[in-house]
Amino acid sequence: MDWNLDNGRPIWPQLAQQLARRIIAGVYPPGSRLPSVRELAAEAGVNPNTMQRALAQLEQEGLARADRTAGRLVTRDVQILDAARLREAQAVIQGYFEAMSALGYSREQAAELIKEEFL
Amino acid sequence: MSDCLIECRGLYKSYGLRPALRGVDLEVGPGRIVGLLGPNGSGKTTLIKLLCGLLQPTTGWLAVDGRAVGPYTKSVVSYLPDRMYFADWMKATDLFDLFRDFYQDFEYEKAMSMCRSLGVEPGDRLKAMSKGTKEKVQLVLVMARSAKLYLLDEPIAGVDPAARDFILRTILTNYNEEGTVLISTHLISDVEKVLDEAVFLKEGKIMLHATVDDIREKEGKSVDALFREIFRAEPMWEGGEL
Amino acid sequence: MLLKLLKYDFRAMWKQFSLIWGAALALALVNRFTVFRDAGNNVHSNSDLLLFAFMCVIVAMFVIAIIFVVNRFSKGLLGNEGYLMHTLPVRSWQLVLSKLICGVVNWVVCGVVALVSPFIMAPLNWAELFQFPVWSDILQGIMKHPGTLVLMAEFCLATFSFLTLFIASMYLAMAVGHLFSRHRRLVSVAAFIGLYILIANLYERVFSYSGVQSLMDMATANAYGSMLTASATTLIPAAVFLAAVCWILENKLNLE
Repeated sequence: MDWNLDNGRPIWPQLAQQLARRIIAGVYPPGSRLPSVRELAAEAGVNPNTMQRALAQLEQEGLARADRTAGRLVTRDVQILDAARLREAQAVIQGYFEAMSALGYSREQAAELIKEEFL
Repeated sequence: MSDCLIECRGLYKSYGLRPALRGVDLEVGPGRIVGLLGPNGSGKTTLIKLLCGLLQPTTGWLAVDGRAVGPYTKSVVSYLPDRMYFADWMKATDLFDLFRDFYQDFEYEKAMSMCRSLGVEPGDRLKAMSKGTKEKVQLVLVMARSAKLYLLDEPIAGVDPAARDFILRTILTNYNEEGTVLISTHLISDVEKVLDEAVFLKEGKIMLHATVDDIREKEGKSVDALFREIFRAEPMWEGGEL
Repeated sequence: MLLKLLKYDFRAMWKQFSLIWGAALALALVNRFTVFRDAGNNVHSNSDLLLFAFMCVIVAMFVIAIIFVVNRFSKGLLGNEGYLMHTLPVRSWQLVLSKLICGVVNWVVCGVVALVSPFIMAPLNWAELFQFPVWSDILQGIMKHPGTLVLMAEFCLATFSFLTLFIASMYLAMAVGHLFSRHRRLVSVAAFIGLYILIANLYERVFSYSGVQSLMDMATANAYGSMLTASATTLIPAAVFLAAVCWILENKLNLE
């Protein structure tokens, strides 16, 4: 999985979002240890302070927690993971509606088209 | 002692009659990666040379780690100049010996392992090395120290984009985290992601000093885009207020 | 820190000169077998070519020695290597002193090589020379006139002082040239000539004062005093020059 960072927004929320997606997708399984700030920063080619901020955000969302011996652990809390998954899903759906609206479809039409996809 | 690693007050430097820096005030704290950004001739190299003691200010005052520039500050500053500085007859290991002798924070083993990961044979004579390899040796010398302040003058200017990533990654994985890194460059898009703060230098003055996140948040655009805007709009700013 | 600097300066010197010194001495040794005395006790050589080669090496050695001193300073402190040297945690005077000591030693060793090598190749009867009576005679002579040793030491000091002044004026000339943004070499040469004229004039002026003159008369009343006076009069301007060099490096350095 690559890191995609776009230009218009601050970097740390983008990093936080992509880390969250990795956790949801199981790249970092529940209960596992996250790579260190330094490793993640080097991997993404970003400043460690920025990565630190992104990880702090994950902790705030409850997706990860600091452990005194093992660095940072991914949460085992299914509810939190599901909630995060739902948030991401809603963001994807929202993106879908926006893209469709750019093509001239209303929300209802867009929803209809999705349904037709499954018929 | 102040908690600023770099502190400049009204720093002015001219070469003969030509001013290179015209009243620079700058404070940078520890543990930051700071981009010193500006077009060619904006005074980036001059500022860095003042910080590492290769130049003396015409007027004004500066301190590194709370001390006037001198042997102490030189012992905590790791400087990567924009050119080769070693005698050809030496081997990389000769330089490592020299650095180990003079800098207490130089880690010989780290230098050797960096050489291995960068594909440099430390026993080779520098004369026999390609320009790119020599640059790597110089980078190893600078990053194998756990300095308080790294001054990197155009570390990615002369190399292709793939090598740029490589160099930046080397810097990121090897610098001392309590230390501050000051990177001067005009290739902003390449370094933007690694920066905490950006300092825009224009005609010897600081135009902007802010964190990258703040810039992106406030302006809604990347530092690179902002930089292009500011420096492209140059004729329009002339005579107006900045 | 000075010792560490000296270590690297001497290492650089050894890299460059071990071969030249070795060649000079080796050629002297080779010539030992071609040089002979004729019936009239005049010295001849069987191989003019070898003798010529020896001369060339000796001349080359001195030329390289001068270039060495110039380059170690101009390239090492005012050229690209200066980026390394001036960011080391040392003071400028330590950098200069290290180069100076290395330069003086270099020239002295070159002088010694030039003095010793003719002895090596001269058709002397070594066996005779190494016999004990010769040395005991010399020793006894020295014991009788212990002043000779002092005089020799003073002579060495005077030689060092003179070499120091010479190198110091070269350094200052290069440092002055460095103050200019263009034609640095030309300015350096001009500055060197200027310094020479300055020193000559200064000596003439100072020594023309009657007070100084009577002082000099007292100081140079005997051989011991003359030597020391000579050392002092060369070391004082040398010290001033070196101080100026350090000041320029400390405050006016501008590496391109």
